[in-house]
Amino acid sequence: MNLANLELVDLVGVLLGFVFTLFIFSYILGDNPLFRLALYIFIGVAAGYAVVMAWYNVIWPQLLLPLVTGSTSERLFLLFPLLLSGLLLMRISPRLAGWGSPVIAYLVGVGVATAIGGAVLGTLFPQVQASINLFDLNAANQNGSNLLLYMMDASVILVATITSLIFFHFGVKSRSVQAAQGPSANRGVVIESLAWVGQIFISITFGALFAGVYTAALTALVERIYSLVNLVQFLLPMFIPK
Amino acid sequence: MADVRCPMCGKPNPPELGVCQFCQARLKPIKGGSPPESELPAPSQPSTSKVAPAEDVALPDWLQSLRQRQESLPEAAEPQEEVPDWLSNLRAPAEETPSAADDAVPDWLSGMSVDTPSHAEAAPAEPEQVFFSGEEPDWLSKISPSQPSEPTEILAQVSPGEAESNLAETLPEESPIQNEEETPEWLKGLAEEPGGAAGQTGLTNWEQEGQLEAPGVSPETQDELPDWMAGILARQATGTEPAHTRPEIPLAALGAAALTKSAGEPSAPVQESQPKGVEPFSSKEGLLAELGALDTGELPAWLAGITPLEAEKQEPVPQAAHAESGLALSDELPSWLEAMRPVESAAVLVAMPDLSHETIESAGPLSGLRGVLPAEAGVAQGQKTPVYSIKLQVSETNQANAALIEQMIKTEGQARPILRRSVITTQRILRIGIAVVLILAVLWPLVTGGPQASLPGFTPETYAANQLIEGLRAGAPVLLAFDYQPGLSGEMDAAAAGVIDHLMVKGAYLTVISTASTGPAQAERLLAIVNQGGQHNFTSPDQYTDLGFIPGGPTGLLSFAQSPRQAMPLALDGNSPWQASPLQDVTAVKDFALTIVITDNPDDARAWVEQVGPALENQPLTMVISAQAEPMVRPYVESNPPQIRGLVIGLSGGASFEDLNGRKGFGQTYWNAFSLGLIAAVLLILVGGLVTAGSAVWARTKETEGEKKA
Repeated sequence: MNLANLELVDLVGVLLGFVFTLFIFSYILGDNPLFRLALYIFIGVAAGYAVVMAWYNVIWPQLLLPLVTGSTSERLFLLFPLLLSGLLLMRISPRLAGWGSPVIAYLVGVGVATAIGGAVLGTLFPQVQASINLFDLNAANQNGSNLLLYMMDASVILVATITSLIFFHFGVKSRSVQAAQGPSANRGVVIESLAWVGQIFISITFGALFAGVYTAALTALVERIYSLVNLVQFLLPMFIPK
Repeated sequence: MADVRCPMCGKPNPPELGVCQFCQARLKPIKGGSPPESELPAPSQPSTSKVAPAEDVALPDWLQSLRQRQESLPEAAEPQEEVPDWLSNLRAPAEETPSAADDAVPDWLSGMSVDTPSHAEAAPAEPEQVFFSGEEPDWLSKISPSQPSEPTEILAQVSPGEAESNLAETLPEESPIQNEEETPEWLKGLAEEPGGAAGQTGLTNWEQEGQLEAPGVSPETQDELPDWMAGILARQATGTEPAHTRPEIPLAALGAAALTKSAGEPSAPVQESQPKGVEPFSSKEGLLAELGALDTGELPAWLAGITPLEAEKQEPVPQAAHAESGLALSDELPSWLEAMRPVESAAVLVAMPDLSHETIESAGPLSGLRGVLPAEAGVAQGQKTPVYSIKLQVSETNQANAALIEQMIKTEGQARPILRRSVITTQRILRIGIAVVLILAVLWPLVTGGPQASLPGFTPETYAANQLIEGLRAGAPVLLAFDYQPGLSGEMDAAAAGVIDHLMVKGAYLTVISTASTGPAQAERLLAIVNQGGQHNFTSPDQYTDLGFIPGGPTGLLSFAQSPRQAMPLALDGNSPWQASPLQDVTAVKDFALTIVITDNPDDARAWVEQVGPALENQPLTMVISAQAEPMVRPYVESNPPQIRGLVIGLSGGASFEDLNGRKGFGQTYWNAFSLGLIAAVLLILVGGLVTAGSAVWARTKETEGEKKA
């Protein structure tokens, strides 16, 4: 980004970003008011921006404006969300909070139904089918992959999937059996062994997640340092005459 | 003799006592006429048979003693020891001072005492008349065989001399009665006529009747008499009956008959005097007080009202009138015998039950009495309601817990002082050192521009994404979702900038949408940066439109996938993008040529796959994701068929995508610094791991050596 082409408002934004970046970096020295100040400002700005977005992007264009300018059918249709919104606002008062319970129930019910339906149809069944199709040799031939490597890859995925699921097998036996056979009595030896294998895959997965988090954080660090360097390089000629 | 139990307190008392030594209640009734009907004595009636043992039990002791003496000594006239107290009190002074009594007795009394033997001679004849009349009342017929001669005995116990002496003793010396000058006329008359009419009038009616009827005993009936009666009759006939054996009138009866009898009402004074005599709770002192009233020299009102004339006017009742019917005879019974009729209660002499085991009433009007029935069983036996303490019983454990809770509450309200840590600590030094290393590693390539790191190679999914964009026609509607947070904009901008630049290069119509509230702002910022950096001239709404924020999360996504126009009718600028080209042909999400989701959250990526993916049907879904979301999103890419056709992952994916397009963007700019910083981080991890492992080995070795030395 070329700062020279930015307008004044954007330049002020860049300067504010520089200052707040330094405030955040001050956490390297420990918790301090500058870090807290930057944190509080970010939270407040995000909340305020969310309210503004809700008003200008949802409430006004999708609820109030149609009630004013919309057709009769649109107005009648919007009475239902308007009524539910009014009931939901009653939760502000503890005395009238009960009126908002049906709205909450409606939202929770719809959300849970949507999530379950999407999980079953969008994740569970397709992933089961994908696991089955891992050993589809025709697909391997069509892709031109090495069958041996393809089968090994599919076998690793299959083993990792099965053993990871076995690791989350929570069978519990009675205390007497546990006392007689030890802690491994909850799960049989075979299940315990497979669970141990699954634990390895899960550990690798967590390692990959940590690596991804670290990579993302390092990328953010690079972007912030780059912005600082870029700003300094932009401002430095102003203070250092050639 | 057995002890006498007090009818009030139930305690035993010696038989000679007339008053209970415990509660001072009268043990022996004054009234002799209230025993049961079977025990009532017939006046001067000779005993023909002994009283049944059962009846003896019901008799008072003094009556039993009298009867026994009568049976053993039918002719004895000596005063008995066991007489009622009131009689003994009257008699005792007379025995002690007979001379004084003679001196003090007024003439009228002396006249009565003189007359008494003459009356007593005729007295036995009266019971005989009653006995043989055959018309006696039932109650009298019951009495007659069992009570032979108690009245006689009672009369015999009080001799005329004793009565006189008793009265004389109670009277003062200056008594006007002793002064003959002040003696009433009627008393004088009594004194002057010892054996005449005055003496006749001094007798009661029944005595007179006895005198009159005694000669009337026929020889036929005399044969049926018992022996002792027959002997009496024989002595009367021969005149050998001793005078002292004749029944004598008790003093009270005598006085009543002599002093209170009026001509018209012969029995009324007697009946008036009886209540005093039968008063159960009148004490001996009360009786003496009545007698003491004579000492005052002032006659009581009832006595003052009696005049000698009235006494003289009394005429003997013809005995024929009494002989006509037993009922008439019973009506003319002497007052004291009339009072003994069993019309009154007979329970006075009933044997008292043993109440010694009963409890003594301690409160109330019946206090001191034994064996009192409670007024109400429930009330009397009820106990006082137990009083439970309302004071909270707090144990030591409860107190300790309460103190602990109180202390916890107090500490909650107090600001905890921030512990001062030393400015220089090992952890802080380590943290600063790591930060400095990473910052220098990142800063060095950015400032100096070297060392140059080779760009990463593209992955199949990145290449697939590039090919999908490459296959777009100009003006093709592309749905571009910005679902990442501002905190990760550094990574996401670098990863997505190459993709957006490629879209602008291809001339796709960008339809921007976001499920995050900050998404539209992020989109506007990135589009502006790419537009500026890529030398593009993308403006809204000609080249792109920003639909803004989709509320509701997955539900909003589902709604948008089913009907984009209804879910997002207006763009962020307030205009309807669906009426103009190229979105006028878009009625469903599948009408978009390509859907690209830029997200840092695996949950958002999954929501797009689950909610929008099925609605896309055969249209491709491509994602630009953060490196931290790759492990969660990759299964959708690796699946067969793939749910995500192309995937750009993080800075490496962006750099490789830019390299595929041959354009330089944020990816390649950051890549050197990212690579050096990544190397520094790896080195730090390795150094840190080696230090930790070395310290552990060193500590274990030192411990082993210490054990060996020990």
